[in-house]
Amino acid sequence: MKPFSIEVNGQTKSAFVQRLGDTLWVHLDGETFTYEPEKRGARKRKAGAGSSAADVLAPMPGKITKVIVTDGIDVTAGQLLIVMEAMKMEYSLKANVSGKVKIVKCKAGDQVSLGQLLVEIEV
Amino acid sequence: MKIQKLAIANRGEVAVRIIRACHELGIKTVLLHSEADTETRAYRLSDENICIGPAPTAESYLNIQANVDGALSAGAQAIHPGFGFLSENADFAKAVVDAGLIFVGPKSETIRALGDKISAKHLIQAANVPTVPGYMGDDQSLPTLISEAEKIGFPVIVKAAAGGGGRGMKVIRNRAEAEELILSAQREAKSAFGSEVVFLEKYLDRAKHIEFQIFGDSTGKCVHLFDRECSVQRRHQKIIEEATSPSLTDDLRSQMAKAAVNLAQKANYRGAGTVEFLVQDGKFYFLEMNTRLQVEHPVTEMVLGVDLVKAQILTAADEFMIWKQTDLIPRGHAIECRVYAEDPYRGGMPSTGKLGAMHFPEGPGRRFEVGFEEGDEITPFYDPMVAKIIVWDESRPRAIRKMLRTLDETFVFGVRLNIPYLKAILSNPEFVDGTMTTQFISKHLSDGLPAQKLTEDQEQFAKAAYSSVASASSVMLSATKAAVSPWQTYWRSL
Repeated sequence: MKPFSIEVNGQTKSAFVQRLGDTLWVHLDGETFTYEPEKRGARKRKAGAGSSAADVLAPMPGKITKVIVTDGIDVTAGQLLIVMEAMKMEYSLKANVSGKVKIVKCKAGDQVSLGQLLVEIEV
Repeated sequence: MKIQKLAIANRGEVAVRIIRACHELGIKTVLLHSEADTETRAYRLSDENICIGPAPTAESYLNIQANVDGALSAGAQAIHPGFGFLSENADFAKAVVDAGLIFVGPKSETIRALGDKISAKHLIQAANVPTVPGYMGDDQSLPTLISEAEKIGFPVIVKAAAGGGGRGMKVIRNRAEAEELILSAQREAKSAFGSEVVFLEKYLDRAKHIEFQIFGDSTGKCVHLFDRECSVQRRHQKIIEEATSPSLTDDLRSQMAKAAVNLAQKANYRGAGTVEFLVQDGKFYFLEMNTRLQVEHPVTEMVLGVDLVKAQILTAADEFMIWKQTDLIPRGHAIECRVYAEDPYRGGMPSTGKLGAMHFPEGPGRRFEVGFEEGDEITPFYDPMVAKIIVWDESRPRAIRKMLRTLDETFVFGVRLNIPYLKAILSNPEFVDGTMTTQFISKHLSDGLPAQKLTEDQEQFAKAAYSSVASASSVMLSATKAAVSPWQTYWRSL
């Protein structure tokens, strides 16, 4: 790949760039970063319908190996809720806050995607 | 027996490494791959490819019968297991030999005796090599394991007996977390290796991980190929390795080398193997023996000018070893970095997806082991390693500088890489001094790196570049279609 040059503030800068979908990937001066222009009216996160800090989301795509809690039980911050496996490593998902488990939205064996809601917790 | 065609029971960069060695030896290759791995570099380079099952490892790369059948159907004479997967599985080695094929590795009895860490410990005690205090009993019940852990004294490490590569390993700091961590280790062990047997060991809290490469041929001749230091580990997974260790005295080095060769000879070892030690306060303790090629074998190759993979294949074909111990003299210094598809700014979370443009900047003493090409995909089914970068230079400080420079120039678009994390390690004074221990990451970099914030220059450049490159790349994007495997239909009709 050949570098791409452009003038910024009167200085010519050269970097490797590639646009994949809406994201521009840039490798400039030894550092790789991405850039997406801000969309007008774009929602950061669906307020209300979306998740709160208390909810537990899948931190990566993977498989649920164990669900420790059930609907309606009380949990304390740091308590183990779910065990999942991704890329052959096991990850323990713990409660961020103390509260009551409103609903468990996954079961052992489920394949989950990044950011999928796994457990809703009511503070 | 002459090998004309060799089957590879592996994937990724190590499959590429083995294919290259075979081609240079005039041997044809058959890649035994899963349905998910047709868009890979190894698939394109191999002379033949046979699909052995669906993406989940238990149904393909860990399926002994499918691998043996695949090799037989292609008319291969030998199977190279690479590392990970079935490489240390004695049942696999036996099944390969029972099918009339050559297993590129030690005999199944040797793997059984050494690969299982518990019996290996008995062997090494017979060879008078010190081991770390621990529990390796048959009673695997939770109450026994917990009370044995208390007897050893916390911190205690729990490990998979059939394991390796950090899977099924946990450090238990106190009684309260013992139950959860032992159960978790057992589950990981079961899932990764098919056996939930674990053992316990005193956790040395400021030890260095130093290992010796050994090699034996079919006549019983055995040499060592010096040491590698792999103290920089995250969750017991090595990240940066080097040869030779910056911290061994001549005396300690020769004691450890002797112990490693003794053990290999006692086990009548054939092929490439690694004896791992922990070194703390000038004392060394046997950790485990890996009866296979290591991920970090290139650093040994670089300082000694040898080819371990070719030596493995030739030894399996009953050729004599060409190395003499007195000829093996390390020169200069080599470092390897494992480049993972992980986001260093989000705690090292795995990053999956389709790979965009990539660049590995060649130069003197720079070596790249890469398993993918642009348009290939990093899937959640397997280890997220994208490539290994190995550098050699005349001294350790120069090798560190060369690696930093190489990492500065390297990029892969489409997934996040751990390169900023690798650079932070290489720039840390403790690493530069060579005094790092296995605690290095938890001491300095356990949380990954603080979130990446674009500088004004970066933002302005990206803004200006965004519109200019849009059209060209969208053509490239639409040209890469979803991968369709011709072998899926082949497999289904089997």
